[in-house]
Amino acid sequence: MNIDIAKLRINQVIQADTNANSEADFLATHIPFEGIKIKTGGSAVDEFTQIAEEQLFERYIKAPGDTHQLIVIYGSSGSGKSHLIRWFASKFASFDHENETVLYIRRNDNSLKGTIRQLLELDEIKDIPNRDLYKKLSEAGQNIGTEELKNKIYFTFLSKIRSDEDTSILSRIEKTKLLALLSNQEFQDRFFHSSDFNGPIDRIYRKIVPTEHTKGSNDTPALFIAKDFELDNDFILRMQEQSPDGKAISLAEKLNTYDNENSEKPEQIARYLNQFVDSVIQEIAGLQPGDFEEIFCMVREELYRKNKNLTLLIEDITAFTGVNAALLNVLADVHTGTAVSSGHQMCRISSIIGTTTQYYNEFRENYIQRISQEIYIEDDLITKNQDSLVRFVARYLNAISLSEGDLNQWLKAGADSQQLPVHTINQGADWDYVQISNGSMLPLYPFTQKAITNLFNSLNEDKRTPRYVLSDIVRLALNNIISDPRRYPSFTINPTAIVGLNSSEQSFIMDQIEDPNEQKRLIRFLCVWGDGTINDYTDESNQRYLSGIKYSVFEEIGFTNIKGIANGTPISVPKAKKTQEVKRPENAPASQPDKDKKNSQYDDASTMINRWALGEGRFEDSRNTYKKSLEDYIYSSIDWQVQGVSLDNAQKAKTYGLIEIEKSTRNTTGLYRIEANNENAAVFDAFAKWSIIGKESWDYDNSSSDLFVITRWLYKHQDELIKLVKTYNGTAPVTYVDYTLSYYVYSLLFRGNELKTSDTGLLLESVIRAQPNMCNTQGIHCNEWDDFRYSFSIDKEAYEVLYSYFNLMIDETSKKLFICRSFADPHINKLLKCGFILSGNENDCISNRQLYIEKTRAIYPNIHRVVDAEERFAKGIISVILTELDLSDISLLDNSLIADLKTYTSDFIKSVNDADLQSCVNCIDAELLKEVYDNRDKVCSSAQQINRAFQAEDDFKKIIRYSGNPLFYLSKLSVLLKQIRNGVEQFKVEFESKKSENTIDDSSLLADTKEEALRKIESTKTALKSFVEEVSK
Amino acid sequence: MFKNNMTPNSLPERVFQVGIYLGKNAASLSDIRKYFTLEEGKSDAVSDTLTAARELDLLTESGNNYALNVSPEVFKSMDSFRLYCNSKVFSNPNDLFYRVTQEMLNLYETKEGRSYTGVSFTSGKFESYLRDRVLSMNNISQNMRGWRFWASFLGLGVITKPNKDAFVFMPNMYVNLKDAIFNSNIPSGTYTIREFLNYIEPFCDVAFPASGNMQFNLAMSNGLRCLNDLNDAKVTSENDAKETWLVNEIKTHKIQSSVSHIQIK
Repeated sequence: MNIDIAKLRINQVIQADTNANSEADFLATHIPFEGIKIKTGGSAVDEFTQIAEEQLFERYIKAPGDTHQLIVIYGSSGSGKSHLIRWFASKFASFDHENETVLYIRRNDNSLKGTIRQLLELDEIKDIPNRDLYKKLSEAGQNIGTEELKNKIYFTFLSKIRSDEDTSILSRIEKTKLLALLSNQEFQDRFFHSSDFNGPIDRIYRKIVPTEHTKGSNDTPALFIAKDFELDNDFILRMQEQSPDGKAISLAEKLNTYDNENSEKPEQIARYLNQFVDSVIQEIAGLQPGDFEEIFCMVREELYRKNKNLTLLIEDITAFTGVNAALLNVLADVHTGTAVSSGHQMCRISSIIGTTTQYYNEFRENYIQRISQEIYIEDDLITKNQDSLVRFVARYLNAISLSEGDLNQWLKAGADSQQLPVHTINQGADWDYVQISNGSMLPLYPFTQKAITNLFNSLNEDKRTPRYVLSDIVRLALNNIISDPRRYPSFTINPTAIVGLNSSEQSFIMDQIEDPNEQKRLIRFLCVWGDGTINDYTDESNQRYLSGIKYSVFEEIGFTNIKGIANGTPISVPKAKKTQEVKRPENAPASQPDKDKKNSQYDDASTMINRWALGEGRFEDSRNTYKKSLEDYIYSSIDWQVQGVSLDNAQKAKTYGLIEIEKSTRNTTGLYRIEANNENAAVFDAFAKWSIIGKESWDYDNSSSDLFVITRWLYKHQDELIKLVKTYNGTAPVTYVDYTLSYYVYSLLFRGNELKTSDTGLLLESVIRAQPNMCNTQGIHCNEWDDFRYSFSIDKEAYEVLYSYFNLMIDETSKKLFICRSFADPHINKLLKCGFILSGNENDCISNRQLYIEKTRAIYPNIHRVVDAEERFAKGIISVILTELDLSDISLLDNSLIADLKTYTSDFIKSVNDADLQSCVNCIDAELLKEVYDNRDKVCSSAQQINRAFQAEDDFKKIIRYSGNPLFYLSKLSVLLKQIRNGVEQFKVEFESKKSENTIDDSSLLADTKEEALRKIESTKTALKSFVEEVSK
Repeated sequence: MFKNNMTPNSLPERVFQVGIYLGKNAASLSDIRKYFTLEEGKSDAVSDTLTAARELDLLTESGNNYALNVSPEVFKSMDSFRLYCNSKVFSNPNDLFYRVTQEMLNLYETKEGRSYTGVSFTSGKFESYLRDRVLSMNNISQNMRGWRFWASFLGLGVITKPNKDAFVFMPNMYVNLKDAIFNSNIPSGTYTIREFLNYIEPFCDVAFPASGNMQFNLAMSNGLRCLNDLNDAKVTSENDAKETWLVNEIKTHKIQSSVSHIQIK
């Protein structure tokens, strides 16, 4: 490259309109078209034959004689139609064609206005006698503001619909609905302010008036398309909210393609409106359909008078949008010197018109009988193989580095392609070259042949045309390297082009550079410009290469001291470089090297992983395969118990997700974020090989490097992984087991299970070894206690958590117990200190752990309430005992007291029986009396328990006392004492009754009985004191 | 565990727990059982753990009484415990653990061995592979279940379980070499590989190439690379070195295929 010239020339040689460059530039960059498809107008597609541009010109264009002809050249946008037509114009300019007037109408700014302006500048038109027409044309569409003109277009369409009487496409009602829809504000906004600047009104507007956006490449037809009328639910909803016009909504719903997938309505409406496009444009531009017909008639008449014929070269018929139908009528008018029906005498006309395939389909049927030849330019005519693509680029690069003067000189000398000058190389002498047909070696700086092919293949399929090669590759790269060669390439490259290096190669290169952006730049260069390897070798002439590129090239772009891997047998050297076929989507099998399915599958995976690492793509893991592989590896490889993590915790963390992959296509959770970097990519790459190539083994070539990569990764990251499982965000230790233990302990206690708290071993034994009483029904507790007990169960899963959390297990299913005491004891001590009530506010992201935290927190608020209720309940029972036995303190209750109570109550019963006063005796349950007596030790120890419960300073200790069910025997004693009181009461009543009835005839007996009873009762020390007093009265 | 019967019952972490317990006081067998299993009945887990501890010279047994034979400092952390174990475990080449380890460290060195890397080393298929190589080894599958815990703990490599009941060994002696450097008290400085091997030989000769062979197996190769990559030592291959040792080739690694020196930090 000659940078000084190139800076000035880039925009001259590569213009938005690829044909707008100078004649010299045009010819210097021209690549001969070969394989052009041609067939007689209207014949079947399979009648296409192939022809080269030179033959085409000679046979059909150069000298058609008196034969009138209309030749249509069609193809996709950017395929080279205009280039070919311009080349025809250049060819005419290169020889004397005295009797043939050649009118070349370029697309230029692609608007009707621009085309008219161009037409008016032609000498043949300037002299037309009808000055009014000339004036009319020159003023067409002028002096109207953008918005005003767009509104005018829109409302002219509405006007056309209103006045349309034809119902062949839309019925009258449908037209009314369409008018309502087009009047809806939401719908109008959509038409006017399309986000991609390609709404229908814009499309039509741009065909009338040139804009900055349209220069050069606007060959989009000014037509409505079905997509303009395809609506979705959200849009219809917005319409309803803003203007609930029933007619508009009714039509909008029919246009809802979400609900009516196969609806033809959008296409039908587009077709209906398209019939008005020409007349709308004419109306806006102030033209009549006959205006152009008149111009060309006059030109042809004039030429006829001068005994000349006319060749009309029109780059793009859509430039005449609005009047193109009229124009086509003129061009199709067969005439050779004689008067036509109109009475004019006109010259022969040979018209060669270019059009996009899309627009050609619009008018082909109407003119097919009058089209002489149909010529089809395939999309890939220039780019279909690497050689032609590279030469195409090389010619532009050469022209850009040649001065205008040099090329004009060449043009003046006849523009002989054999004599095409080659620029002086000031930059990039060590870069790649390509030989062109004249034998010259054209420099490819700043490309390599591989770069051109790879960058071309990375273009979207619809952009793989010469136009986009120039704008999106050549100009982009040139500007990039001119601005800073030591940062080249720094432009965005489609990640699909970045292929070749595996993760360890990528890592090897990246380790040599610190700056991540520079790492990416080098990887890009190796993969896109190089041969996708990091082979570092020196050839027989002592020239060093890296990735098939001369080493000095790397130094030129700022990479010094980069090392590849030494390889005695380079994959390719420049002289014998294999050419890489450009991708042809429809013909892929022919250009793809044969690979077995396995390797291809791995290559795809590896490419995806490497792009992800470079930040050029998402991590595609729709089936979660990679995440699972890495998680299985981490989980099974770390010795969790050795590292102080219970298997229970590790398992729960794994269920939640040990890792989360950055930029993954699958939304998953995980504790450890796997960032998109090369180190992590190498691990995924290793698993891809293990899975795909090794079929889940490490038995494949070079597996040892993968084994190294993944074992090193684990050694490097396992501390961090372990920390994240053990702690909340790497700080406080996880606490779910404390909550689980708290929950489980309370569930045991409220069911009356004994809990030994004197040391951690005993407590562990109570929790882990003891068979818990799952449902203690014999407990005597308050209703609140019973209700609360039923509100939470003894949770088997909680038990499993504790069993496995504190156990050192061989594996997850192992049942043998070997408590990790240095682990369990601190947890137990912590809970004993806080009375098994935890006060943290942890929020565990792992739901299986948070579950126990929440379950436990839910029972805490009830514990104090239940303990209070239980205490009140206990005090009620105890107060009866204290009152009946006149004790000041329940701790004073002892065995002898109960023994005396039994003796004297029995004696009383006997005496009363003897006195035949049985009804009072029935009040006292002899069995209960016996039970209390027999269990007097338990009654007394229960009294001591209750006393300790009353004195305990916290709820947990109280619960431990109440949980032992001390009220069971104390309540029996309480009942017994109540029965005795009732018995004495009954005795008194019965005694008084019998006395009044004189049924007691022996007063001595009575007296004796009374005395005896009193004596015996009084003799009880304290227990029946009140009773004695009662009876004594 | 190490002499002739490798059992999964004697997990390293269990031995560690017993060490902590006995570090406080000597204890009877029933005390130990009660302490760890919360009951006094017979327990394989306890007896096998005590056997492993005894084989590592961690405790003495007098009658029914067990006492620590080493400083309680050994059980200060899992790292200190591992350092101790690595100083003892490969002292006798006749031990079953030594012999199995030697075979497993060289698994990737032969084509036949590599063909077993997708096979669980506790499977019947793998049993036939080991039977020919480790003499008088019975109940291979069960022994290998025991081997895996200690192989992983001692830092001989990574043991994965890619699917249910499938154990795969991935040799990488990084941790083991780190311990060997510590245990050998090798002073800071740069050493030839031969000098380095002389220092660490008492602790990890199980992984050394046969005499006269200067090619490291994958376990040593990976271990040396990790020492270098994780900044524990600097391993280099000097062009003018008198003696270079081959490591498993990784073209994309700084240490591509040979090593000559190691700098201990």
